[in-house]
Amino acid sequence: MNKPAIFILRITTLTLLLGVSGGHADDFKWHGFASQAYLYSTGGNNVYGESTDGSTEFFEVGLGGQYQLNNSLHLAGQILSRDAGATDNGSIRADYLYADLRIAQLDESALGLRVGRVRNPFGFYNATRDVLFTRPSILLPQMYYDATGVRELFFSADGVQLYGYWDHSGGTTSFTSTFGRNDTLSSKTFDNIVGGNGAAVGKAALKNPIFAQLMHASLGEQWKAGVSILNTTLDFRAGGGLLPSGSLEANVVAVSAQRNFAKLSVTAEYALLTSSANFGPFSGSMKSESLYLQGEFRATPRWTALIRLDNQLGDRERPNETDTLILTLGARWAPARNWQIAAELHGMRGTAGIPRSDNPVNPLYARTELFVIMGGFRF
Amino acid sequence: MQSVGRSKSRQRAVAAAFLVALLGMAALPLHSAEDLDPQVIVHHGVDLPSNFSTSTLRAIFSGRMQRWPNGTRIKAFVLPHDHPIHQNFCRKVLRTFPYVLQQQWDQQTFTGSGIPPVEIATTYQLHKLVSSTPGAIGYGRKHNSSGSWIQFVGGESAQHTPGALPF
Repeated sequence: MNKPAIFILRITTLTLLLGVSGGHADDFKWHGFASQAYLYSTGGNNVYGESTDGSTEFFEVGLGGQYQLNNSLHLAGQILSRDAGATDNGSIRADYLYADLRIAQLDESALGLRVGRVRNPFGFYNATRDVLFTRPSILLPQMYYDATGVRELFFSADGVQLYGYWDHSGGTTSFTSTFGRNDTLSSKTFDNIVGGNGAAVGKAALKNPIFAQLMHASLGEQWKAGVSILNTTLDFRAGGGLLPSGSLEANVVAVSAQRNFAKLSVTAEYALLTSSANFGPFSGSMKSESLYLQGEFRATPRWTALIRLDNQLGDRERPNETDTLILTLGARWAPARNWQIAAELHGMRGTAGIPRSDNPVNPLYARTELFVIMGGFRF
Repeated sequence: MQSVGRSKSRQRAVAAAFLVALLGMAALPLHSAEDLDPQVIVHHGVDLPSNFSTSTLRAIFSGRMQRWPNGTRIKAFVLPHDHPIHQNFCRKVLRTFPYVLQQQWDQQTFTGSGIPPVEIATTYQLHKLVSSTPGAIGYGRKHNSSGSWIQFVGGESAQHTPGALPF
């Protein structure tokens, strides 16, 4: 664990301990979750460990708490350990830790400011992407970039977050905007972002990431829709690898929409990633598109079925070479409020959903069938 | 032969008892889930906002609104997810679906952005808690179809209910 992470972890622990000893029980709340998966793939590609032989290298464990200090100030923090084949290593990290100041609270609206390491709302699922209970499926759609290092730019940022909501006769409108400070990235993280083939060796930094989301939900959330953006630049100083020093500018815009019925939810999200690379001979810009359509059918409060069609064009200029289509069929069983078991079949045509770092030697195969089952507990 | 006759008469007696039990059960005033109309209950000391409405209730139970106008913390109590009164409260009062509310609570819990309502197992316990907890709000079963949608509980003003609330 790096030094800032250890520092934040100490602060988290101290804050939580203070919260426990000094607060009333109803002003403090712990939460936690743990989930473990088994993956099996056919077709030659590995997903999270050697899944062609059956892999258990995918788990998520988190522990957090929040404490309401007074009417306008509250503290929240969470530590997380996640293993996902070669793309994540199970190390414990401070996922978020922030102080939340409610600047104004009126009967129908509020405005607040969060300072620290904050979670980034992006699309419907990014803010809680590592919790099985809040995802529609075990593996997220491609626009969340689970298979590549890009996911690491999404989860949280160290900085300031302004948020607010407004209840009115048409529903609820809310917004969140995050201004992150510059941050260092490990060489491995940066290598994952630019392809995961070991070409990038050196020092990388994340420059002024900006996240923003505007969401509108109808009364009772029969439908909701929103726009999310992410803009950041990655600076890289080479230290011996194939990739020379340079920078990568990334801009992502996502549009989300969901319609909820008594037993059915229909969700669609579209994301456009525009990246501009400036690494000497490896320079150029690229536009990548992702789009999915998903149906969740809640047959009973305990059983949910899922179907999703998910398409990504890795490079809009080369659709035939970079196109990936994934059909997902899933089922979820919640025997009790705290327990869930989910199982999924992913039929993949294309390689965008395949983590390159789990397949370092083999060239990637065009077709993959993947079975995943995951059990989870929460409190 | 005697034992066979005795066994047949025992079977008949069991069948008759079963039939009587069934008839008895049918005669009981059973309530279907539709009959279990919810009624909002509020601690007697709470000073409701002047424009209190379904919209306010939605903001409270989704966790967005955390304080009453006088600054007191709102303490919301709910029944379990599959309780018929909770289901009806979501559908008829909040005009939302129980799973949507659960998703909002999960989002708050796992992002650390709010403390969701506390789940209480029975209407009796919930009523008792709202009566005794300053700033509390919850719901129970509506006993009287002509009564108000909202009732103040605990203290001497327990009988007081506001006249017309814009539900």
